[in-house]
Amino acid sequence: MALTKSQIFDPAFLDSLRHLRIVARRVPAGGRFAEQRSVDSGGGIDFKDFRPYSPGDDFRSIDWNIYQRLGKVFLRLYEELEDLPLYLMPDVSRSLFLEDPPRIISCLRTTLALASISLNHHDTVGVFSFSDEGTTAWRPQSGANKIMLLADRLASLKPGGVTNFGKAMRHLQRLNLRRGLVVIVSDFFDPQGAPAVVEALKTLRHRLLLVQLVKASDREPELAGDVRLVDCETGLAEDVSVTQRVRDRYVQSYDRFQASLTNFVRERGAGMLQIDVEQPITAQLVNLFQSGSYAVR
Amino acid sequence: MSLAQVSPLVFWLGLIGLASVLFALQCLRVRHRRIDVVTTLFWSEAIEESRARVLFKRFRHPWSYLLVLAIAGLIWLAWAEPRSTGDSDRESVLLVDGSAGMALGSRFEDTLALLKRDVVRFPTAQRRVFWCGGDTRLLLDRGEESILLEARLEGLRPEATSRGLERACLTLARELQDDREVDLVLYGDGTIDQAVRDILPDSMALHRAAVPPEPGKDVNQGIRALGMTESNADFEAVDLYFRTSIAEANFSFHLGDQPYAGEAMALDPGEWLLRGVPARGEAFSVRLLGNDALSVDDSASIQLPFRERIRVGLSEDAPAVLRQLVAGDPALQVVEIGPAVAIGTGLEGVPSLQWTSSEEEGDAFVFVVKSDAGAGEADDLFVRLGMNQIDATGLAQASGRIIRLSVQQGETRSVRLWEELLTGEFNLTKSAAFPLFVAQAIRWLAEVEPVDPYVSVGEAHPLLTAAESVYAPPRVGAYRDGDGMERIASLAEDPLPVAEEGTAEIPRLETLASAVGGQPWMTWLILIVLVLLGLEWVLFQKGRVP
Repeated sequence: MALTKSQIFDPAFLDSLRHLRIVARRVPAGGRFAEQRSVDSGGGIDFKDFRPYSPGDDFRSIDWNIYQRLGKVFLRLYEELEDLPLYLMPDVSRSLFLEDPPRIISCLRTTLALASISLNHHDTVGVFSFSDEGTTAWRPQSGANKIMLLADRLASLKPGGVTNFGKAMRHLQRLNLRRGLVVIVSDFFDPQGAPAVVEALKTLRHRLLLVQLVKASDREPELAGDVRLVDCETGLAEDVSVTQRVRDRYVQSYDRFQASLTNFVRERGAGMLQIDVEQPITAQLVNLFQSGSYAVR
Repeated sequence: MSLAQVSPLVFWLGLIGLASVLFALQCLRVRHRRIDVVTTLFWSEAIEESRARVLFKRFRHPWSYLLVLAIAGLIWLAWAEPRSTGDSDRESVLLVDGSAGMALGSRFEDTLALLKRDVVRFPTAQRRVFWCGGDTRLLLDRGEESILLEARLEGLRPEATSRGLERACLTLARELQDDREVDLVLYGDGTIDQAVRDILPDSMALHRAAVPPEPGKDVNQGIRALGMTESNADFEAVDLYFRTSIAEANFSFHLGDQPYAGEAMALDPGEWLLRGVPARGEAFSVRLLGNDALSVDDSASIQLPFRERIRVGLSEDAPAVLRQLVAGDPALQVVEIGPAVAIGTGLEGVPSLQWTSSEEEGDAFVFVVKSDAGAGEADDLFVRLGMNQIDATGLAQASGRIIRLSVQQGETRSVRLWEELLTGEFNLTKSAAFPLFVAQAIRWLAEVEPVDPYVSVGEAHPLLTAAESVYAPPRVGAYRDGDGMERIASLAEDPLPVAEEGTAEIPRLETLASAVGGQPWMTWLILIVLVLLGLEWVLFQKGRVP
């Protein structure tokens, strides 16, 4: 299935996201100047702290009022504003291209939306698509004017193979990127099950936001009778006689999978958003940005 | 409860077959519908759990199987038409007409097909089936399975007889000893005379199973009667009389095994006379030439008597009046040696006509019968010898004595009478009864039996005694009568059913329920099936059954 730019790029949709913002409590030091508060102290305008003078410090930062009162030299420290690296990981495995409408559209529109929000606030954005292995689709860079280029790049993504979170996370780790926010946009249906997904995610050093692409039929599939279910990624077939008992067990299995993800998110202090691919994305994204911003912990 | 369409055995076998077929279908490899899904991760876990709990690997849906089996079983039961037993005291008797008229066209086969279809609908414990041909025969008793009827009907064909249904009705009426209600269901077109219906008890109800009428059944031509009389010209011959259903006809005759050349004389339209057929104890048959729908009545046979002139020995003192009568009787032959009948005295051991003096014999007429003669023989003599035509009062007045008749027993037959009666002194020899008396007395002494004038199917032999007359020849052909004599019954009645003029029509059996008396359950069964189908649909919608 070939994607077109028009399927994922909607100017009106992106324009409606302009007021949204991803805010980190503290971004790691070493970034570019931007709008996020950094753990560094520097030349910002917001007072942060005092510290004793050391040789070599900038004289312009000495607080002379304290020197008059105490006779000791202290420097005034101001918050350093840097960028928040945003690493978007859209899932391009075959399962996202299967249904109608395919989940890949919601996946890429969500990816593009989050990228647009970050680029608008001078953050750095990188895109690392993955399926059975990770790929650098868009190296980390900033600039609000690059959103069109990013859209083109996303539209050119091809369907991959089998979802493999382990390989995808290892690929990201090997890039040794500055710590930032990793957003994984996927259905999280790794054939190796929820434990493999969780184990893979645990290896990430970054802050984490999971965007799960879901459908109502994921939990309650509309199947009946004797069917041969073929996994679109692995090609494995299961002959199932769908009875109420089997259906109940399916729901239990699905709920256990969801519980594994949410437990991990809770323990990790990460964020999680479920996007119903059959519903408009804008309203669902806005839910993530309470009071206009999403606070990254 | 009983089943109208099939026997209980067939029903249960069918139900087992249905269960087996449905079981096999359940065990067949299922052709799955292929569906591509984003993941089978959760399905794998769901069926892994269920597999561990399945007892029979390929029999996956026992409740679904039971539901389908219940639906199929109820449909099968509905087809079998179960009925409540209803009035358990009411019996159904099915009478199969085996009369000759049923041989027309395919009427007999149609009737049997109808019978086989109907018989399973009657409660087994309360139905019987009778064959009503020349005799009434039980084909299927109470409690016997209907499947036996097929074999028992094998080889049965309409017999050359008529009114078999009437005989069966009368037999059953005699058999019925209590007030049990009986439905007589007639399979065939035989009629029941109003006189017979009047005899039937009120507890018997007549029904006629509907049989499609045979088209053109009135085209039959046949012999309706065959009888004989003694020939006036020749004692050793008989005259044959026969009647046909058509005015013009051609015949062929057989006497014994040989063709007999004779010319039948037409008396009236459809009535014929053949004179002077030799009476040598052979069978005589007449055949109507030409083809028609029913062949059984195209020929008729009758057993001719054996006749030869009676050898009579005349004593020298025989009165002249007796000599004249003997000389004038063509049946008699006067011989010197070996007479069969002696007229006068002197021959020991030979039946004789004797005369005695009134002084020696108290009774005017004495008949000596054999010691082994039945009581009826003496009674019949009075009429047979014409004694009822003798003017006994005149004889008594002329003789001044009482004229009495007595019967005695002896070794040989003999007739004795006063010799005075043979003289002109009395008016006996001048009366018209005297030649009859002499001729009949000589024939009785020679043990010459009168000719059977007429033998007909279903009627008592006209010359048999009252005790023997209960026997009626049931069908055309040879039979032995009460005396052990072989006779041949000819077809003398119309074998075809005739319009029941003057009698009420036998009601047609419109529905079996009217005869069986039970209530059909089919409506309720169909409703239950519909409910079960609705239940299956609901369960399917809820995913409870595949």
